[in-house]
Amino acid sequence: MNLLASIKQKLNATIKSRINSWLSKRVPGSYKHVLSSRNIFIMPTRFGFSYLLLVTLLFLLGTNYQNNIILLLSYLLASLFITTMMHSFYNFSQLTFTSTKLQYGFASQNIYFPIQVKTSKDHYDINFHFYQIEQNVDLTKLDLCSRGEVQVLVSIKPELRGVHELGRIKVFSEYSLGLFITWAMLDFSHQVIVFPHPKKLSNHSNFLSSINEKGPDELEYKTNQSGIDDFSELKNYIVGESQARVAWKQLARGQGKLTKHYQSQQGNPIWLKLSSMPHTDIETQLSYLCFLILEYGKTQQQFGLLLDSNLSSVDQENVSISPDAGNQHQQNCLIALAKFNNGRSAD
Amino acid sequence: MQNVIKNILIEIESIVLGKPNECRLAVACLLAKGHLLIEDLPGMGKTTLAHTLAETLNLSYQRTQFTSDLLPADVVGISIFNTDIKQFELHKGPIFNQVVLADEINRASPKTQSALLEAMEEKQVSIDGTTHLLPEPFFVIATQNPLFHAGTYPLPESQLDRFMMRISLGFPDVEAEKNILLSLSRDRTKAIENINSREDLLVMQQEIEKVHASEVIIEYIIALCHVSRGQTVKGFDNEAGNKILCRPLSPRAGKALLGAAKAWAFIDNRDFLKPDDIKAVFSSVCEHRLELSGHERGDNNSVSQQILQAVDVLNPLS
Amino acid sequence: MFNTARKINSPFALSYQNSWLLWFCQLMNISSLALEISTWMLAILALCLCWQALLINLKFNSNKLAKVSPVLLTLFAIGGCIAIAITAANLGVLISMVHLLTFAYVLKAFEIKRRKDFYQLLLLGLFLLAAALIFKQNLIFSFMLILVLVLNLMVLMLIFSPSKSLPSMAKTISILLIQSTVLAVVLFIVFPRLSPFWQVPSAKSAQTGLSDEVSPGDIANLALSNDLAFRVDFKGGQIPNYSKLYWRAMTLELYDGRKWTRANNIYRKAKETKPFKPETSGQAINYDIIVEPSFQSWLYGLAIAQSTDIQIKNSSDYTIQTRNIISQISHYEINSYLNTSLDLSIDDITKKRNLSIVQGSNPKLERLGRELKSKYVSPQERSNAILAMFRAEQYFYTLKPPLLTNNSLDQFFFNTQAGFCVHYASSYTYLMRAAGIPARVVTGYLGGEYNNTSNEPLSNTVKQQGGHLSVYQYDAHAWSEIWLEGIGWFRVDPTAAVDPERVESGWSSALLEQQSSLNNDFVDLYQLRNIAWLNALRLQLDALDYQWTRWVLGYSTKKQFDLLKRWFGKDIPWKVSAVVVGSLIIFMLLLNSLSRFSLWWFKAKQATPWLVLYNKLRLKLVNKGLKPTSNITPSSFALLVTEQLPFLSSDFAEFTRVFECLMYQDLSKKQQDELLLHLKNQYVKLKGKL
Repeated sequence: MNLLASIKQKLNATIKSRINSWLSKRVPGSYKHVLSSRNIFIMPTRFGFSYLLLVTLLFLLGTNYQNNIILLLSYLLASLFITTMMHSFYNFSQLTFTSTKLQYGFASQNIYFPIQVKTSKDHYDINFHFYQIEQNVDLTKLDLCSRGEVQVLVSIKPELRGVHELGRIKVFSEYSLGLFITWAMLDFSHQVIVFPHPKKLSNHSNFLSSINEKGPDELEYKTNQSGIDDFSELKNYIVGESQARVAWKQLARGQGKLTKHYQSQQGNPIWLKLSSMPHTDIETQLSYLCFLILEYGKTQQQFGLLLDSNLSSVDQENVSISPDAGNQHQQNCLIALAKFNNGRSAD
Repeated sequence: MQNVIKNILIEIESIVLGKPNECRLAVACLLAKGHLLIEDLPGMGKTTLAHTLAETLNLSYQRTQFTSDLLPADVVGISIFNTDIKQFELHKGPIFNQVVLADEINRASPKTQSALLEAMEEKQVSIDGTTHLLPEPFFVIATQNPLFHAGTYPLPESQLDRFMMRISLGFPDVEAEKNILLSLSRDRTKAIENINSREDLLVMQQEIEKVHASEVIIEYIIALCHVSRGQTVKGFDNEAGNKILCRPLSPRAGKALLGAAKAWAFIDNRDFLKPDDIKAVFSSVCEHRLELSGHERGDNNSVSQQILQAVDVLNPLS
Repeated sequence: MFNTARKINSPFALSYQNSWLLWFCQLMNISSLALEISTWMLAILALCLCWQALLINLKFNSNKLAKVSPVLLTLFAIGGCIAIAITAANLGVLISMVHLLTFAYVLKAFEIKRRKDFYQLLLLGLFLLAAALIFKQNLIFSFMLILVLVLNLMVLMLIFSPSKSLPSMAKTISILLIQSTVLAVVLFIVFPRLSPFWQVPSAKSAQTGLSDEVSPGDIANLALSNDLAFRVDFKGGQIPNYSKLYWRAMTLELYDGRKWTRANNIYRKAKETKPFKPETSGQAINYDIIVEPSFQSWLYGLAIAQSTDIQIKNSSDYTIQTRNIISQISHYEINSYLNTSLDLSIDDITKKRNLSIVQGSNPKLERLGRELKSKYVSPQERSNAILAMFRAEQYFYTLKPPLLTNNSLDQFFFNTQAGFCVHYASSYTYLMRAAGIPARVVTGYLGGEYNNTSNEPLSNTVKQQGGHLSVYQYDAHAWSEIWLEGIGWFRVDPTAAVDPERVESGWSSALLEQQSSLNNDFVDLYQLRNIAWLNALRLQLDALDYQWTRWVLGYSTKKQFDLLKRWFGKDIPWKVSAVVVGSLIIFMLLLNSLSRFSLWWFKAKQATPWLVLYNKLRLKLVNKGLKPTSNITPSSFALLVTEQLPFLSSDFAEFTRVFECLMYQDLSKKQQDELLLHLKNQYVKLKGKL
């Protein structure tokens, strides 16, 4: 029994890989796909088969009663089956899809991939979903795709952080009568970088490392971020600078015309360290880190990130990002969290 | 009328050496009733161009050097109590000229900048509650220095939009530079002839508005705007599927594009627009509107090129 | 740009619009079968539909989750099934099946939880539609059914295109159906007809038309019906006079004093000995009869009718009947020998049977008969005397005869003197028998309505009379036959003596008026006939229905075989399958090209002629090796051409100039035409150079 199951599994796997390799030859990855007979597949649905059964039944009924009208009806319905096939195909073809490759998001949250749909005629009932991902995939439905351009957001809700290849997106339609399903497997080489799910950390200041602790070798750090909070230095006056900032005291003392410069932040940059996070589970620690990064991002504070592991494992490498502020920095830190030790945690 | 234009161009090109295209753009901008922003390093002939333009067209001209201590009143003018006649007397600022050269506009404080830009938009100024109309035609040439930002107040994006075109003269080629060096001293009074009357200019400006823009051309402009807004599939410039990174073009930008292209076609002695006209003025008209802050200039030029590449000329909206 | 996409994770639910459409569709589906369903079942179905409507209203208007308790529903279903089972014996298998089907169809609508349920309901609905066709197949009904089919498919389509408006959806469905018709017709013509695979329960409907026992007053009831009995196609031949169109159905030889019945032994005898084959002579007229289902085995024909069909047997009284009852529209071909006499000699048993009267049942008539026998020698004289009596005295031909006690012919003949054909035929036959002449009552139809709107050009060489004859139930008639030595059975119609118009040309207007006041049909035949255009329309419809019946309903296995043989000659199976496959392929190609064409048309409509011309030339140049980008302007392209293909440069520059003028300049129509001509010339020139 066990053997049989394993054989079945293997067979399934080989078939799947065969199909995939065939697909990648036939519908190669691209940022843009135009639906045509090349990449559209069409099959009767289960309802389509039931419908055919009904048509056969009607044929039998007509034959047994020698009733020409019932026969005619059954022929009409049979022809309708074929006409519907063609109509399904034409409803689906000529659609143009474009999408961007990369998206970011947090674990256990919906991440949306925008897909631009462009057509020159009306199309009905266009559905999208990521088909190679089994869990947490929502179906996105476009009832009417009218002439012009529409943006569709296809969502996934990944549970694990990391960099995930999403594989192909399945676009399908059952218009016009549900007898046929037309579909296409489009490969936009979609990739999602999933950050850890932020976990709230109360009184987090306890876990912040100061510069005195073992950290990166930059001990002194001065920010050049200009701001309005605190005074930082005097500089020579440059023509055009605000008069309000001229240091009149110094001018009066005959030290020359200087202007005052301010900084928004003073003090030592904060280092967020993985090893100083509470809890032993590395994923939880990353979640805490994620929360902190977001917190500091909100207040535009400067911070650095050090991903060191308390596990003395060989294949781990420490990642450190020097202190900075801003969206780009925050993004870099989050990506580092997502990618950290990714190969191992996936196993 | 076309001869007049031709003469003006010949005259300007004889002064501003080796920059026929830029000269032509400047004239087009003037004819389209737009304002011009010249962005270049010092000593590239910005002032010469502005001065020549004004002289050739027989327009009143004044140059104002913008500095950080320049006040709005210094630009628009001020009412001063004249003790002799016991009355407030209006001292008109430099803005009451037909051609105003605002040199190094980014050095002035934002307040002063806005005063000028408001005047540019409204074509009128209010001093102490009285509204004064600015002369017709009214043409502002502003210059700014792309480098050395210290102590400058860069023009905000919304105000950059007020300029119809932004051009940069750039370095002249060897031949032109040789000529520049050879004609050692500039004798302005002698060199420049008044070719044109003010009335002629106004007539030309009216003529330009009559230049025919067919539906395809309008669609072409719309398509270009759409691409900048990321609205069509062709907004993807490369295989990776990245969008062209730029600020979207506003309808005002589209209008400016149309106006500038019409002037360009008029200079070309045509009474209808061709896509070539749009292409010729596109980067000058739209570059500063497309620019993303924090990006280098080098990229920008290619942004407008990318957008142009993304649109099919004959079938723009498909 | 807005995003109309939505997330799907809610269970299957019908929209408000679709719920009502489905409800309406159910109503229509059931009404197509309404005539076959018994009243109590209709009441149940109506109740269910009302309930359903209430639920829909509740669900969408008050946002309450209206749920039907499954227990209640189950009980209801079981109750209904029991009721059907109980009445099954009465209703017959087919009708009970229909009851069960409709009941299930209505109940299923309460249980639409998944998409699967919805699909099942829909397929059941389609099956119901087909079932309705078992009972009725005429043109109008079939057409209505197609409309209901469209409705069914609309319900289905609404699932997949909820934003589509109902009219546009109906349009789409109609297009789908019309496109399908092409293949369906091909299949209908060539796809092999099979013989029934197994015996199916036939409809146990009430017999319609003539019955095999007749008492005075019976046919008067039948005469109130405007239903069609049968149609006759004389195949372009001469149609006999109205007064000769006596469609014989059966002879009634036995009289028990109240009613006339058939003599069973005629048929028994026919069964025992070899099949009866009437002797015929003279010119035959050939015609087709298309008979509506009567649920009896009687067929109609002009005497002496003969058919070669093995399903039809001839009886010794010169009537014909089928082996099975006629439960659906059937065709048969008849040869009639109008001038041949019936039974020149009859045996004693038959003679005795046709002379027998129940002694004392109508004593007055008996006495009169005896008087006639003594008064007149020859049978003809006796007959004429009776007819003269009918003529002379105040006899009324009426649809509303006064009731007779015990069906007494005496009472009619001497007292009431008002009656319909059976009264006269019965009295006449009785009198003749009493007078010693063998006589019998014959029932059938008289005349028919000639409709030449179905005239079709059969052949131009011979001037043929087209059209067909429609015989309705109100044409039912009874007359007498008397047996005369040397002549055989001789037809005498006593009605002719009373109301000659009835026999010569059909119903008199007085009779028609009477009929329309007596029957309570919605469509009043009498009024219909008086309004010319309505009557013309009625005839037109009748003609259409006739063609439908003849060509579609009447397309039998034999006809198919003949047709295919005519078309293909030998090797029919091979060729038929080739045709089926071929037409399938052609059909798909046709659809394909149609959609391509529409796409092309759509594009071409947008493109101006000069753009088309320019693109053509540009394509040619691309084939020459030029590589323009899509964003190149015409003038830059001209420069490119000058650079790479210098020999074209001047011509192409001119071509481009003209094209640009057309494309971008503000031109009047005249200028445009001139320039376009110039462009075309330039194009030809350039093409030549290339």
